[in-house]
Amino acid sequence: MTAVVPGMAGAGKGAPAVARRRGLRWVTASGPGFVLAVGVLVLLVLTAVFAPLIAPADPYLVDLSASLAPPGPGHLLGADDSGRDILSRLVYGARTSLLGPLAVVAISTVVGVAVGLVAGWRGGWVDAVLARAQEVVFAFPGLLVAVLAVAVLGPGQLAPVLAMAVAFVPYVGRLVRSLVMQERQRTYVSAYQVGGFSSFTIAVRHVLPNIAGVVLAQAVVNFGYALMDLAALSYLGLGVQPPTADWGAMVSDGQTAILEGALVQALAPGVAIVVAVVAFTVVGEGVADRLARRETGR
Amino acid sequence: MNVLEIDGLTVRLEGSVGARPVLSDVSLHVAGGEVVGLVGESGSGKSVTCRTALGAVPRGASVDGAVRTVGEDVFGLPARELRRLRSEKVGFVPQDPRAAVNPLYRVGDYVIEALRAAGVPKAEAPDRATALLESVGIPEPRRALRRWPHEFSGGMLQRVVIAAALAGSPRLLVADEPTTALDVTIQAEVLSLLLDITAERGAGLLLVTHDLELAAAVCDRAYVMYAGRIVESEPAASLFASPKHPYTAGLLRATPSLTGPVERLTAVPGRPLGLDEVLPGCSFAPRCAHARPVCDDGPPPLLEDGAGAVACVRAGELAPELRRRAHEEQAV
Amino acid sequence: MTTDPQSPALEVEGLTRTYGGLTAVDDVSFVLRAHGALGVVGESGSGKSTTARMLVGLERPDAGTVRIGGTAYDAVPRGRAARLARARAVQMVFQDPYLSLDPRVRVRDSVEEVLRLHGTEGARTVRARAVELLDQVGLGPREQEALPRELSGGQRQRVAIARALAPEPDVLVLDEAVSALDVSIQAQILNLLRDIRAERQIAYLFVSHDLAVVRHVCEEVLVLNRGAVVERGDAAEVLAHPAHPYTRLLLASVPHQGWDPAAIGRARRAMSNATTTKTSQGAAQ
Repeated sequence: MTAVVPGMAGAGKGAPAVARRRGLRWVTASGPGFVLAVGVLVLLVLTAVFAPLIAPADPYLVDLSASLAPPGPGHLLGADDSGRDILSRLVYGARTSLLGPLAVVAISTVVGVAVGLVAGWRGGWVDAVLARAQEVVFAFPGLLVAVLAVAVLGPGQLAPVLAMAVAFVPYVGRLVRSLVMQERQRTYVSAYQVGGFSSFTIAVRHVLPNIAGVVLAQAVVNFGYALMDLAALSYLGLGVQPPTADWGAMVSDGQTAILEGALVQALAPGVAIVVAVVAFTVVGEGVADRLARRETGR
Repeated sequence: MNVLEIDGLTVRLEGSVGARPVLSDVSLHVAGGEVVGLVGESGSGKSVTCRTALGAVPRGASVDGAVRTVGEDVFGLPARELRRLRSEKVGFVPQDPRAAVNPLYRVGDYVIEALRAAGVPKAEAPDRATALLESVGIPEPRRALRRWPHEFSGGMLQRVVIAAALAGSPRLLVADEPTTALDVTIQAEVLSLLLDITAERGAGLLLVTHDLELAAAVCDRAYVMYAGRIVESEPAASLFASPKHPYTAGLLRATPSLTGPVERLTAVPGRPLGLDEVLPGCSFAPRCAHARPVCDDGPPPLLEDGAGAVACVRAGELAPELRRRAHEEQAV
Repeated sequence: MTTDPQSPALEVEGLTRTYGGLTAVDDVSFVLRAHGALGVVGESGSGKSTTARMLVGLERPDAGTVRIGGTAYDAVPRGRAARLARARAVQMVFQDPYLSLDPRVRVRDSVEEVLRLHGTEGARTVRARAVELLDQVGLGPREQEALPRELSGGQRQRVAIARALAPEPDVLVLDEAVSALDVSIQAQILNLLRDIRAERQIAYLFVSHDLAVVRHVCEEVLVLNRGAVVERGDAAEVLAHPAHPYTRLLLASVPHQGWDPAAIGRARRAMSNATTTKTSQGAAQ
């Protein structure tokens, strides 16, 4: 079952995630790469926010006379099979392609932090129960859960986003748990306990802010993976539905055009996905590395 | 013969905002069979100084001056020769044995690795390791080779580190706060081991410590460092009886004692500074009760004074008062 | 809470704590008189830090009672009222000033948050009280605005002391509170501790391995070895005329003129051999 989408299903499994982290680390070693990636992300967000100002044409305007028009003055990146301007669809596609992952990351981070904090702070049976629950989630590949969710809730953005959010919780939860356990050992936590502060206050007001940087870095990395997975679902026709401009769906639409010799329609959104995912990963890992170095340098 | 000669050593760390001075014009020597203390608080540069004896300088440092270890100019040696010097002629004992010994290897591996580096043939190494562990007082040395670092107490593990430091029959031992991480009763044993080694093998010992009383108790001579400079050098016995630098005298008065009346301590105001934080002039002047405008004119030179040397422009006039105060401390 | 000024600041009865098969603290009892200072001396593994942590409720004793100002306290406080009451009874200063402060909280805020928790009301009152406390420990306006990493070890320890004084506790537990400091700084903190006790109704439980420092701070001393009390009494008296061989060994271990480290090693080995023999005989019987 999982072999259907092996290249993109990794987000649901533990081991590949580690491999992906390692594999991309070399990029982060270089300073200019990090800066470039940050630039790409800023550009991406600006594009999404100001899409109506940037897009040269209406992304939904069908003009069959321009079907599969090559790149040129009228259509900078050409037009798709329905004659819609590819560049404009790419620009508007940034919106759906970023909003989905944003929701996934927001939900998974909030839930994951809560789960990890409770598990790491309380320890004992609470930790054990939460750990088992997260292992169960881990056991199901995220994309598979998403496919099931779509079957139940129907196609559209909602089902995949919820499914991916659930699938990402263990990544955040485990990270937060280990960070909290480490931070708990620090003497300042004991000092607050002796001062009469409640566990809740110490955990939320002191421990959480001290681990927030690392959690944030992980969230940025997760953003990239969520973007990729949601694009995969859209590509399979389970996520964003046509005619909405979305990178994953655009790749899928563009496949037939490849047979007719027009590469741009599938290639442009594909490149956009790759660039965005790499940029998010580089930035996230870069921030995490920096925080780790500051930690050891202390 | 001197087994360590440091001559006019100046170390700067090259940083993005310019060079940060760490050591300034440090000179000291250790003769074979001699126990020499290097005393100072944090930021004094005592650790950096002792590590230069092994040819080790902080990353990105620029160095002036000369360091001759067992007759070799360490900064002029090619990397291979420097490694040979470290493994065969100098032994280093760090503060924390737990940080020095890899917990994933057996104790024997650690000692044998040091022996192999010192050129002992593979076949002989285990026997030599056993003999070394026995010589530092590890019970059942042959079995100890097969044991893991975590099975050893801090004191016993420090003995293992010392055994490894002796692998090449060194002429010089450098010990950087070797007992600071250990319990007080263990401290005595580790020190007596180091002293025995120096006495038996005729090796020199450079003992770096923050503990003035410890230095005075076990060393032949001692250097006192402050903010990257040597401010006083004395036969250890005179450190207590007649400290010549106001800093040395201040440290002695600030240390609570086990005898005499319990009264408010005469604290040295402020905190120990690094060389990069001090103004031109005497580094200690801002904290010194005896400072005069003349003290800010330039760093006072380290001048011969009796059996020792002192870097204080007012040393001559202050001597009677500092000696009297030291005697008051001692008499009670 | 009503505190009888005549009752001892701290009474500890039969405090015991075991980890697995190892007895870290073995039936320790002592009394710290009101406004007094009691030194708890021992090496690593003596149980001195575990004892300190049990007093402040960070660790749960297997047996024994803790009474502070005549009131008995639970092993580990549960619920807000119990937590606050315990905190007002006893506070603690930890060994490492680099780890005992939240790196993100500014000095004055770290005192203010304790004051607010313990019922000081009104932003202005809280601020004034925090400034007063920090002034008292010798931290000026610049240091009060600083983050912990901008301060030296000695200054951080002053912050820790001010914070511990904020709930106005009856007892202050100082766990190796000056051990990590440079000698010249250590003297400043010792003088500060002296001044604080002269000005306030507070008692110290001073945990340390350093006999000279204990002698300087405390009137009474308790010597712990392997979790058990081996000697107690007037600090000056015990340190001048130690009765127990372990106390004698500790004293002899302090470097001094004419010091013979080799002899101490022999004495220590003789003592641990004696103990081992005793235990093995005990096990045989």
